Amino acid sequence: VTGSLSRRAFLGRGALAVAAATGALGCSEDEAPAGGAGDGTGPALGSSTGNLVAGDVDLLTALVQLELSVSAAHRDLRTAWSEELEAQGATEALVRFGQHHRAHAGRLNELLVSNGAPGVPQEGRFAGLVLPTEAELAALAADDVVDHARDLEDQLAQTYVEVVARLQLPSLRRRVMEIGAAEARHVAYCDLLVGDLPRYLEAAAALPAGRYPTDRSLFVS
Amino acid sequence: MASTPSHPSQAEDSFEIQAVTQAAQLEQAAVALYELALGRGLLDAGATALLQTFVAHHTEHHGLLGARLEASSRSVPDEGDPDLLASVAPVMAAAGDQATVLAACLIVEATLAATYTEALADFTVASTAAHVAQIQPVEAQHVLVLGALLGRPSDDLLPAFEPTAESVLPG
Repeated sequence: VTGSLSRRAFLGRGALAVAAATGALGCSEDEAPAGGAGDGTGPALGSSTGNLVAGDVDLLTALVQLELSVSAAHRDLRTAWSEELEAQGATEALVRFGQHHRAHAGRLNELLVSNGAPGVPQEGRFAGLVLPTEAELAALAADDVVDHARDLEDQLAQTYVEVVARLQLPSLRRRVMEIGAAEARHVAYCDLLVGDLPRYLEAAAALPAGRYPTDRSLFVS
Repeated sequence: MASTPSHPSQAEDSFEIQAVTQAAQLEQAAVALYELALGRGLLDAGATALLQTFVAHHTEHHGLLGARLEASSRSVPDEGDPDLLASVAPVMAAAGDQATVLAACLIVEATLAATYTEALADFTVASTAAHVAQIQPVEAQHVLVLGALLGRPSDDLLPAFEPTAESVLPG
């Protein structure tokens, strides 16, 4: 559609607004990522500017820890239920989800480090996410294994949506929701895996006012 | 550093209003295009139910954005985005099968998801950004489901990061 739709002045804004939005993080859209565990298509990150306020640093740090926690959770699930996941055609999806979560953690870490904040080590975990024990995982019903993964992805997506209102730096909201929407796609993909289109339609009809909910955000106690 | 007021009245600028107005127009265009698609009689029961669900979502999104405009004493657009309509409506009207209709729907959803993703960096009022952030992942899910119905590869359905290439923000 990019080629067929004119790129008219969608928002009627000037170059100053664009520069403010992209420059707030000390970023140039033409600069290469500043390293980390991203996938190479991440945000253009420039030199450290120290522009992040403490609250934003705290939120990004918790999101990195959360991504690493969910990635580990998917790995545990694949280990405990490898045959069942294979039979349900879900192995590839869970592997992909895990890769995404590590890429998300990498990109968020890049944002922190490139702005002079401390990064999160790979073993960092989010204390607010209580993961099932090995015994609890083993006690899942086979039919519930993908739903378990979906539940994690949904909590993650809701957390991202909820965080947007609390971020102080506007440019971070886009970076965060580039990830949050990917988590929401994971949720819908799980719906299709488990119950095809009817299952997705059921979930879609339950969205409050057609919006992605936030009541299961992991950052809200 | 950019400060972020939490309420519209704290930072009522023309950019914010134009952005929300344009978003409401995109939602209205989506509703009109899906009604056109549903009227073609080319869809099976599943695709019909899917598009009816999408119409409901987009109607609700338009209402949400309209409420935001009304809160600022601005008028709510009742016409769809003319560029999106001009781009997609002819494809819908000429479609001869379900796959072509759904591919046109995919263009609509990809446009909305990408545009909202990109625009999220530009909203100065936190509550506006929060509203758009509740809509954007729903559009992203629409993209995925339509893509799955069309048999698109997993790499397209599940990007690591929500793409913005289809955004109608000025390049």
